Amino acid sequence: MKKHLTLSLFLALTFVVALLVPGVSRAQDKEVTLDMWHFAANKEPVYQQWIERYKEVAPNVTIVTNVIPKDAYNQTLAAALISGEAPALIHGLPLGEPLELWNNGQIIDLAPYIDEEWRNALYPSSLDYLTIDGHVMSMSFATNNVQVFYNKDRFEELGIEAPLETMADVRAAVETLKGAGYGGALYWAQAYDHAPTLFFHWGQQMYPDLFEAADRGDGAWNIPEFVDLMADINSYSGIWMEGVASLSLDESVNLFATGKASIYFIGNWAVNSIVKAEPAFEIDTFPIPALNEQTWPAAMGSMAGTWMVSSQVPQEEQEAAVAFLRWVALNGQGDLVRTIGLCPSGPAGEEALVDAHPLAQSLCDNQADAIPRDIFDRAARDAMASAIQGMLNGQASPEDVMNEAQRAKERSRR
Amino acid sequence: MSHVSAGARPAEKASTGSREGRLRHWLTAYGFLLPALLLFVFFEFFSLLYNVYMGFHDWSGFGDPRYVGLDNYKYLANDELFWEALQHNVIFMIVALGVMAVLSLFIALLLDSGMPGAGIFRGLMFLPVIVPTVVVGLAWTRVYSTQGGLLNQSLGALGLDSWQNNWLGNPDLALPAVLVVWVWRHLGYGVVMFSAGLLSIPDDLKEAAALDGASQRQTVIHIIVPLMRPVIFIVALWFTIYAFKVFTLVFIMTGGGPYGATEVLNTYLYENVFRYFDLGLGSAIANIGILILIVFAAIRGLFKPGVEY
Amino acid sequence: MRWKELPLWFKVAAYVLMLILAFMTLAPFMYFISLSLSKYSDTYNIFLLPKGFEWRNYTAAWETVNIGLHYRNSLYVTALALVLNLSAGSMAAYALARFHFPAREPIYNLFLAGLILSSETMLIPLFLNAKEFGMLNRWWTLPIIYATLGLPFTIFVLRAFFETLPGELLDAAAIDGCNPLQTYWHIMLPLSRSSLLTVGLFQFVWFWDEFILAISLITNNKLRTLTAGLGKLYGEYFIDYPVLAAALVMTVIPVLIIYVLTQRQMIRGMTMGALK
Repeated sequence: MKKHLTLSLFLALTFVVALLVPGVSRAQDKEVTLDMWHFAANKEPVYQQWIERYKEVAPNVTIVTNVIPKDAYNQTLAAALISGEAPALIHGLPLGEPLELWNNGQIIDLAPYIDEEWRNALYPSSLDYLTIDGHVMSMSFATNNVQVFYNKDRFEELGIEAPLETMADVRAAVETLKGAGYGGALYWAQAYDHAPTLFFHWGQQMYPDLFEAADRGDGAWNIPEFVDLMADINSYSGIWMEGVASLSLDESVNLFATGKASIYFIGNWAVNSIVKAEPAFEIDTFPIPALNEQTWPAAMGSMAGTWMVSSQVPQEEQEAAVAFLRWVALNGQGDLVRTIGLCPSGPAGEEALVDAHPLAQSLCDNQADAIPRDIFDRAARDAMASAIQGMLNGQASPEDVMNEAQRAKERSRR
Repeated sequence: MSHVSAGARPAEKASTGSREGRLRHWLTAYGFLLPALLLFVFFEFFSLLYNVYMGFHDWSGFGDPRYVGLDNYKYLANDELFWEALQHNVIFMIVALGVMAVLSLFIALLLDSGMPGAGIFRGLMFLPVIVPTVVVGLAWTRVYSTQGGLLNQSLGALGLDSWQNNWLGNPDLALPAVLVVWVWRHLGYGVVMFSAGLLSIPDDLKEAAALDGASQRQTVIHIIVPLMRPVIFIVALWFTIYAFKVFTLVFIMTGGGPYGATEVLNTYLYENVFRYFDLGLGSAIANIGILILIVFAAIRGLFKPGVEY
Repeated sequence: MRWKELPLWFKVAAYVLMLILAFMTLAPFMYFISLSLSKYSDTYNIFLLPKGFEWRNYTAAWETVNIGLHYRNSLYVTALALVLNLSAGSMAAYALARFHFPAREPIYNLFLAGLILSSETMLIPLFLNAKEFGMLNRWWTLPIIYATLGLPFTIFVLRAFFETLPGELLDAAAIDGCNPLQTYWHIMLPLSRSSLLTVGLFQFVWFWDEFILAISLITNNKLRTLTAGLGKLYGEYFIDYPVLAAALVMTVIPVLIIYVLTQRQMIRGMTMGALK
């Protein structure tokens, strides 16, 4: 009896040890699942490519994407964050979102993880853009450049010389175009993150310090310099197409692609839409013209979406997420350039430019001196955008616009 | 199977009778209420409480809520945009009662009158209701579009070029434009409810009135409408609630713009909660909406109609 | 009101009104179907009729979104939610309409207060709630929550209907020896068939169409409903409208079928109700 007992005990022990051993070795290479949330369904194929290729590099990491339409993204993400169900990888727009999440302790600082190789894969200006007070809050793999797209054939036909270097030149060009029966210029004033673009662009050229102060919290938006700048911009309101404040991206692309409008202030993200609309003429780009003597022609750049790592998920998920971001920075930029028509955010993405659409290539050529568009005060930006739409409709004055921005800023700091 | 002995009270009357009978009566009632109450308490009740609680706090969703008493409500009292939004909701209500309810009653009467083709029209009336809001929003945004939009094109085809406009982008036209879509969409609800109500009026009553020499108009005004009072009250209350609840349609079509021209309570709430992360203010706005509803329900309670024959 | 006796001008006006409404209803539909059959570059060129027959939009939509899976999920969720909502709601309405008990009116008003809350405004508390009960990403999450959110309306309408039923009918039933449960099952429910059908149709539409909760509470793609699954077609800046239109057309078809079927039932039910 006792012999059987000892034997069975021995067998049981062996069995248990046998179970544990693989467990021990598995712990070193633990299975990790990362949730990756974003709102860009058109970039999903690119992300899936990354995930597939990354699987070969790190087979123990499973990444699951979750696509949420942009309109619902804020809500869903907020609900998840508030209740502690955050995904490991959070996509956002670099316009203030990382700073907001950082201030609420929701994302981690990537700076400690960025080694020499990673740093070299990005342009210094890109890394600079992503760094606030020494913390790297997010990681971005492509850039968007806002420039002026123009109908090359039409310009030649009417004898307009490109590039147009000042807004006065643009006004003259629009006069010629209107005289020939075509419409005014376009810019995507309907979108909240895009309506104040020109103000941001020229404002940072003219008053970089005042701008930074107002944006980061010390200064005010409704100072006379900004009001005058807005009034200056408003003086050119006549060049825009009728109803520009309410045209959706597709509608304005359609106007441009069918030749009704020949000048379009827009960026990389519209390249695919324009191409798909099958324009029957040649298109080229030039940098945003100067508004006055204190400004100069330049492209306006910003990062095309950015990725953050949540601080709510367990340590091993955070590290796996960071490792993935590092891999993409080194190996994945090219896909965004080739497939989506964006510009690279570092040397690691440059080799893909040869395969990019000529429009994208033209945009990326002009990006070297792009003015950054980092805006942290989302509330002020949104209020400004709504008021700018009102200004274009004749309902609000430039002063109203800056007052709204200031009001929103004060409210959000209650 | 319990068995009510002969001579026991019928289920409804519990005011008299034995205490045991009354208790049983109450317990039965609670029994029937239980599933709904449980579901409601576990899910919606918490949300109601949360709203009331959060209305007195300042919270960004992260960290701890900060008690601020009536600050949120004081802010709203002075907030131009809030009053504008409320005004727009009231406009929705006026349109709902004045246009939607009246029109749907009229259509229900038409369809009931023996109009040829009524069956097809009846079918079409409810179609807008079953189409998902996303489809409605997208389709009508295209209809109102300045780029080859159906409305402008139709006007052009009819030779009314000067009437063409930027419907959703013009601050004066945006709200009426959205109202048209809203009415179009919910007309079907009213028609269905009124049609059901009409069918429950016995035909012999209408016959009797006709035999008595009543004209069409007299029949309608003096007989049909009073008999439909319960249904009319339901529809009126329901449409009023809808007027304060409107969100998705406005959100998809204009997002509250241009420059606040179509802002309503719920879009304003959405902005505050999900763009400015001011959950306290959002809850305060929601609470005001709930209060308004309670007032309306109380008014209904005062005028509770009975059914007289 | 009898049609034959109406003056001519009235008849003409009536037809004009109905035809305008009919056009307003059908035109967007036709536009959408045409859009689903067009090329992207024709998005702004079509009026009411398609310019081609790009069936690839439908295949593209089907593949990108895995519509079959999401259809099934939507059907399960909606059907279950409907059953829960109508049964719990009609029972509660019965109690509220025909019984007298303490706290009757306050309870009714409580349900009524739920009417004003829409799912968007309730997102955060509902999310916190669901998380508390471990209900995120379960197959029974949405049915229960939808059923609950629809309760106020169901109770509102059915209670009003039950109140209109003559008391003598129920007295007779009681004297005949029916207990409340039997009364409910054999008398109240059948009589309220048309109301049940109407409320059921309203709720069905709302459950089928609901978006924000479907996309927030269920992030597991295998469990996602149709409305949430369609999110995959909304690019950040670029939406392939014809493909989206194709997907939406496919979404609407079952609803249309159910609508056509219930239409006949509803009318039959309503006329039967009149003959009580």
